[in-house]
Amino acid sequence: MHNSLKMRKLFYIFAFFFITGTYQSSMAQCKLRDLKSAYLEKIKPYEFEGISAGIIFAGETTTISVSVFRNQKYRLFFHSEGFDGPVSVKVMTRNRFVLFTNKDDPSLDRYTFVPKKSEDYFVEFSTPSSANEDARGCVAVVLCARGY
Amino acid sequence: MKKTPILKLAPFLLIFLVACGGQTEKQSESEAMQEDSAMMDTVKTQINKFVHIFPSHLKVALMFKNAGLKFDNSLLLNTANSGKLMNTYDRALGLGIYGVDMAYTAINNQTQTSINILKVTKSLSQQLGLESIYESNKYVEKFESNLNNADSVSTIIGDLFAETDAFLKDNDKLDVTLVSFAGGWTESVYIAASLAKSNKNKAIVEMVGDQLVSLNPLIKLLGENQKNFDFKPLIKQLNEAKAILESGIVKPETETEPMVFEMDDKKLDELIKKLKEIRSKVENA
Repeated sequence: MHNSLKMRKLFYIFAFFFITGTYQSSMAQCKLRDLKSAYLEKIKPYEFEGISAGIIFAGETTTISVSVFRNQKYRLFFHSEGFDGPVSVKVMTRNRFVLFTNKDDPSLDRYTFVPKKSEDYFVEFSTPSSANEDARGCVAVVLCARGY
Repeated sequence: MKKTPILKLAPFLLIFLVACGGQTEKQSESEAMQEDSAMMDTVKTQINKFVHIFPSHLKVALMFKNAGLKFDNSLLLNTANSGKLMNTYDRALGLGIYGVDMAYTAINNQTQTSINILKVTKSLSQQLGLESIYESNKYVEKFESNLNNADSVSTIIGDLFAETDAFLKDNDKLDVTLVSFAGGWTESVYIAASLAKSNKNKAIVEMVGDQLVSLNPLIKLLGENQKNFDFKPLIKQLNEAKAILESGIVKPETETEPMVFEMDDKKLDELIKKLKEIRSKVENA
């Protein structure tokens, strides 16, 4: 058993460095500046407001929060890459009231809205599972506004 | 000087190795599994790094302008002391404050003042290691060639804010981003509250109350990112500003309706005084 534990430790040390290395190389494809540049044309006629992005594992759920002001016209773009299947997206209020979901059409990549009050919205990404335990990809939210 | 022979250190090294390795023999298989799981969780946690999306300072400035906010040169923070900001924290705070002043002057067609402030923000950015943003995007040149076009100047400023924010986050400088945002938030609300008081503009007062929406996540994130800085004094000041703002809530929001927010001159004075206190760190450098 002793040897098996030692082997396990060695495996995880190796896995840690492998994942960290791969993570850094994946991060190169999930840089905010690159994503922002890539979206500048796509978001027109809206203006870029902000972005949040990061790497998550396949089969995981993560949430990105965003502050919005009442009576302003906004559009959220949802970005994902590196996953085997469609990524499900939900936009919710603080009380988990669902404002948007791509459940019926996973190809939907944006949500346009005018909030009735100034509040935080929560964008939840759920990524598809993968046979490869180490599979991961990039998800991002781009916030745009129009008209001020 | 007498050297310590390495052999003398060997017993200590051996004890250290045994202490580290000895644990494994005592571990049961299930304990090992738990440890494995925790290790993988740690790796996963490191990978998930998503940051709240704050409103851009340019958007806030334009919203205030559309609500009737006039231009008052006396509200701008004096740039004379910007060269005396000696540490990263003060420079980041200054970058946020001057960034808002730059946007405020630009959208009010004060483009010459705006470009002077741009030079200050450029200098602060260089000191913060962000010079490549200005150089690769040629912001000063673009700004100078669009001085007579306020819309283009606004677009340039919006892009500068977005590039700075993305650069800082891409380079693991979230703490600097947060201080800078705190400076910008303070300046936006300071200008708006000062003019709301003199103009008795209810729409601007309501919009001042709406700034609570970004203050809450800001305070939370500052609390979570204090590895390189002591944010406690700033968090305390922002919490005090938050309490003053919350005292203006006449009717809390419901699921579908916004809150009703009002501030009399006394409350606005209290708020302005608190925000001046935060600005003074840059003003009195």
